[in-house]
Formats: sequence, structure tokens, C-alpha cells
Amino acid sequence: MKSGALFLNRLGEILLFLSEVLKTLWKRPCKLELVLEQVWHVTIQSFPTTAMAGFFVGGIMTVQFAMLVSEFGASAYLGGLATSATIREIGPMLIAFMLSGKVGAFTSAELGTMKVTEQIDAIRCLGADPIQEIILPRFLGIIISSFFLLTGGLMLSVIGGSTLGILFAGINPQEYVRHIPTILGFPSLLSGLVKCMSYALVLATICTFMGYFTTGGAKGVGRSVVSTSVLTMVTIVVFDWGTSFLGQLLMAWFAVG
Amino acid sequence: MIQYKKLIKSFGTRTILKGIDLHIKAGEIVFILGTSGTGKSVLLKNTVGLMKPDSGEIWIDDENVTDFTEQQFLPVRKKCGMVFQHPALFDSLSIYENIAFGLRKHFVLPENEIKERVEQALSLVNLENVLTKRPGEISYGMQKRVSLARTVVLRPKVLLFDEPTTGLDPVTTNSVNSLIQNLSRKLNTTSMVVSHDMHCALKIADRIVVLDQGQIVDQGTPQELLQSQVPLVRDFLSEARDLL
Amino acid sequence: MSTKIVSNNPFSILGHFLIVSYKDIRSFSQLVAATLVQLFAHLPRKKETFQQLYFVANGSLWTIAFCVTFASIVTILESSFHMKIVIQNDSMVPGFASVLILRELGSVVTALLLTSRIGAGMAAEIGSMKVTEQIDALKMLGINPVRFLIVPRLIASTIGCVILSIIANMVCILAAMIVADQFLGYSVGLFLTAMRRFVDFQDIIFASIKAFCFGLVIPLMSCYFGFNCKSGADGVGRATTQSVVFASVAIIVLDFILSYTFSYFY
Repeated sequence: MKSGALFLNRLGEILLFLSEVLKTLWKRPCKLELVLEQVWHVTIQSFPTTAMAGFFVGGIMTVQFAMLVSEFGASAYLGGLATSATIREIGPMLIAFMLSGKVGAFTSAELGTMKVTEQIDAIRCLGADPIQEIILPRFLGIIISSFFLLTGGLMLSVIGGSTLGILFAGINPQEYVRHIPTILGFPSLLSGLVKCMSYALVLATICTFMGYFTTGGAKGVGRSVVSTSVLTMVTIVVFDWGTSFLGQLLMAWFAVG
Repeated sequence: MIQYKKLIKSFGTRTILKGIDLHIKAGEIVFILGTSGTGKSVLLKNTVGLMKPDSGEIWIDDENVTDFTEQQFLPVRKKCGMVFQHPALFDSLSIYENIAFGLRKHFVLPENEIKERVEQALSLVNLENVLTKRPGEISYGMQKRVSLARTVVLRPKVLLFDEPTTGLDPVTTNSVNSLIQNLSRKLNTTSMVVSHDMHCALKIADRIVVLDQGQIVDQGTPQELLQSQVPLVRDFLSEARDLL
Repeated sequence: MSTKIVSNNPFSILGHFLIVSYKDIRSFSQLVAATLVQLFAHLPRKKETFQQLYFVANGSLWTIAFCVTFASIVTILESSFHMKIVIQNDSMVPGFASVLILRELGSVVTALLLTSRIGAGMAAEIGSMKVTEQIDALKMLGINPVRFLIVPRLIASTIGCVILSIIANMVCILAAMIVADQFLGYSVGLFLTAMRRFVDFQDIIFASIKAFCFGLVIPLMSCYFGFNCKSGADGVGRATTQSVVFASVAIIVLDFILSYTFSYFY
């Protein structure tokens, strides 16, 4: 019961923080170049990691699917199946996990360090609003760049999948690619993108929140990094289910209507 | 200048400040002494609104700032500069940008005037040739002096120091102390210094206030304190005498 | 890792990168070697090992169970979606989903969650110890920090990871079964029959081998970055971040290699 109350408490704090950030965005937006600087930093830092993760995730999915579809004798569909499964579901989730470690943990460590070394208090003392000056550029920068990173990772996963399809399953490239459009329709692509978008939002909110409310010296920074990555992963899994569920509801609704 | 009326602040079940009544006059150098964890820093942070008191009032320049919002506090903070215990320099900015940060926020100044004021502030703390460096590239003592310059450059009427000499070598400690003294003599700045260094306090303070367990146990000029009978003050004094 | 890059010449950047990564790889393998020596040279400290095991396994059980439940629900919903497109007959959905869960999802999601919880936690803890000079204090007392700190964590995390991934697989299959029964119209009997056709006992063995490898990688990475932590709050944060990133990437790459290897045994 107690942990339930704690959870609700934390959820409320995060939502209040999010509304504060959005209010600041509405009333006192930060400078555009600060946001662009963040986008550049985050993208450059994390692209190799996400690209690599994406490539291997695509590869793994192809290897697994190759064994399954060969039992059905449907290896022609391998490309379509593996690509669609990667883009709709596994890809965004695993790449977002990777980003929660890379971007999320990094940002909360950076903000936490600023907090425990009194840099955030110093900003307030020098007459600036830390949310406008520090949080908002990072928040927006992370949303934009993780969206790019996730889609980039997905593309790499398609490349990884097709490479493995050719090397491992011995399917020629044309055949691999041919069935992708039949299975991977526009709704699937959209579902993948919506997932990326929502994960980016989750990531940005949680890591800025955790970093901004760090207390307790070097140990505290470590603590908030750990809770950032755990909380982000849990929320991403829940959102994964949520978006899939919503997608099915919408599909059903359109099918009926 | 600054007045605290029955200030109370607690964290959870621990009461840190138990009713502080204190009046600081303009142009004074007041040292607040006490052992670690008696709420000295909390008192300073309450003054500029980084924390809110539970009850009591804070008056700055005949203005009750106790219930000010973050926006209302901005002009107050322009008036009261605070130097933090840690240097608290912004890692991502150069020394020059660190010092210019407040100037750009509060005033609209041409770039050459900003440069002039930054250099002036740096020369006040005896630093040169560090403008383009990053905070990580200079020593801790230099960082602390830069953080002092960052506050002084705004020419505040009140300066709040949170342990300005902790972790500094004796030579730098002396120069920081004489800087505090010079600022209040030349620019008529009011200074509030939180410290546990009785030695410095005896040398430069106009008034010394001793805090213990969240309450003021004794206060007075250095001469008056030397005659004090309060045990904690005597402990502080005997330690300072050993140094002399 | 953070030495300055002097010029912008691409060759110098490449050379710098090679030197730095060579140094990192060398000191990482030294740490692994020292750990292995200590692991077999002495009996591990029992009390500490059990404490760590409690921290690893009991502490993460609910989080992992919660997450894999959601992940497996999504997996079965998605695979039903795909099968309907490819082969109109979708009676194979449960088998398909349970193969995916057992071979990939269960152990990888468990390991990634453990990385963020246990790996980051260990890196933060050892990093703080390093920053506050506790590790030097241990050395001064004549205690080998590798034996004292890494070996118990290594054993605990390996055992914990295997146990947790078996539990996670069970929870996954159960959740998938319930969802299939309630929303997709496969009765439990149908689900189990379809599962029997695809899943063998060796799948569980392979999943455990994967979990074993992941369980080894996580504490080694965290302890390496923790031991090389730079001073200050800054350093602890960076060590924690790096350990999470490197361990996650290592897990994905290892998973790929293992899946590829196992595919020859089916």
C-alpha cells in the first residue's frame, strides 16, 4: 500500500514538473540556438550506439524469423515479416532502452551534477530561470534528437536485417525486399513512428525531472542516474503496450466505421 | 538593510532554524559563526529565496520578501549577490561567459562594456589570463575567486558569502578576506559571511553572530566577543588564539 | 577516455581513438583476468555474496515481472497481427509468440533491465567508494578490492540473472497465455499444443546460457567503470552512464552472437 502511495506521489510530481516545463515553453521560450546545440550534441554522441544497436536488433530478428518461416515454407515472406516486426515493436523498444542508458542517464547525471554543485542555485541567484535556461533546451533537444535517433536506428535495423537475410538465410536481396511493402503497410510505419515519438517524450521528461531534483552529493547523482534508467525502461514498456493497444483500437474502429 | 523576524525553518521533523531575530545594518560586515549543521547556510538561502521559511519574516530594504514569488525575487537577487560554498561555475561556459552571465540577464549592455566590467571584476580578485579557459581547467582556489568575481560584477548592495574560505590555502584566504573588507569599505557593500573561522572573523568583522542549534547564542563586536562567557564562543576563541 | 583531442585532422582523431580504445580494452581485460584469478583462488565471501544476490534478484523481481508481462502481451498481439497477414490460418500464433519470447524477449529484456538497475547501481556504488577513497583504504588494510568487491557481485549477478530470466520466461508465457485466452480466442489447451510443436526443452537451456553470459557481462562492465571513476559528482555520473551504455551494447551484440550460434543446434 505504501509503495502504491509513493508511486502515485512520484507520478504526480513528474506531471507537475512536465506542466511547469510546458508552461515555461508557452510563456518564456528559450533561445532556439540553445535547443539546436543540444540536438547536435545528443545526436552526435548517441548515433554510433543507436546505429549499432539497431543493426544488431535487425539481425537478431532476421535470424529468429528465418528459422520459424522455414518451417512453414514461407521464406519468401521473411523480409516482410522481420522488417515489420522490427519496426512495429521490437526495434523502437530496444533502441529506446539503449537511449535511456545513453541519453537519459547522461542528461540526468549532467543535471544532477549541476544541482549538487549548486550551479542551479547560482543560476537562480544571477536572475535567470533554470527551467527556461537549462531544462527547456535539454527537454526539447532530447525529444527532437531521440526521435531522429530512433528512426535512424530503425533504418539501420532494416539494413541489418537484410544483411543477415542475405548472409544467413541465403535469400537474395530482391526477394527479401519484395514482400516488405505487402506486409509493412502505412499504419505499421505510423505505429512505429508514434512509438518513437512517445518514447522520446518519456525519455525527455523523466531524465530532466530526475536530474533536476537530485540531492545528496556524488552518491545522489549515482542514485538519480540509476532511477532514471530504471524508470524510463519501465515507462517505455508500459507505453509500448499502450500505443499497441491504442493502435488496435483505432484499427478496429476504422474497420467497423 | 536586512532584518529577520522570528525565522523558523525545518526539514521534515528536524527544525534547523528556531526563531532567528537579527538586524543587519547597511555597510556592515557581519560574520555568522557556528559549528557544521547549525543552519548557517540555510539562513543565507532563505534570504535570497532559494528556500522558503516555515514562519517568520524577512525584510530587505524595508520590503517584506517572505512571500515573494520567483519572479518577484529577481530584483531582490540583483541587489543581493550570493557566493556559494562550492564554486558553482557553469561547466559548459568559459570563465568570461560565466562572469558575464548575470550582466547579460540583468542589463542591456554593449559588448565592450561587458568586457570591461568582467576584466575589472577579475582584477579585483587578482586573476588574469583566464578569460577563455573552462572552469575545469583552473584550480579550486581560482574557481572560488572566479565565482566571487561573478557575483561582484553585478555590483550588488549586499553580498552573502557561504563559507568563502573553506578549502583554500592560507594565502588565498587572506586575499579573499581583504577583498571582502575592501568591497565594503570602498563600495559601501553590506556583507554577511557564513564561516567557522573565528580567526578571520576577529580580523575583519564589524559584528559577529554565533549560532548554535538554530538559535543565536551570542553576538557583538569582536572586542565584546573576546569577553564572552558562552562556552561555545570560548571554544571558538581558544581555537583562534592557538592560531595567533 | 577524456584526454583532449589536439587537432581536427581525421587521422589524428582516428589514431587517438585507437590508442584510447586499446588502453581501455587492455585495462578491461586485466580486470577480467584479475577477477578470474580471485574467483578461483579463494572461496568467495559467503555473506556478501548472499547479500548481493538478495539485492540483485529480490530487488529487481517485481520490476522485471511487471515489464516482461507488458512486453509479452505486446508480442503476442503483434504476432497475431502479422500471422493474419502472411498466412490466413493463424492457429500457429501461440507457438510463434512463445518461440520469440523464449529465444529472445525473456532473457534480453531481463538483462537490459538488470543493466539499468543492478549495473548502474553497482557502478554508482563502486564509483562513490572510489571517489571517497574507500578503495584506497581497502588496499591500505591489505584487502584485495577485486576479491572483496567484484567477485561477490559477479557470482551474485550471474546466479541472479539466470534465476530471474527463468522466472521472466515463465511470467511471459503465462501472460501471453492469458491474453491469448481472453482476447485472441485460443483456449489454454490450444495454446499449449501450438507451443509444444515449436518449443523444445533445449530452448530453456539456451535461454539460461544467454542469461548466464549477460549476468557475467553486467558486473564486469560496472565494476570496471566504477574502478576508473574520476573524482567528483561529475565522475560518478559519467561512470554510471558509461557502464549502462557499454553493458547494454555488449548485451545486444552478445545476444546476436549467441542467437547465431544456437541457430545451428535446432
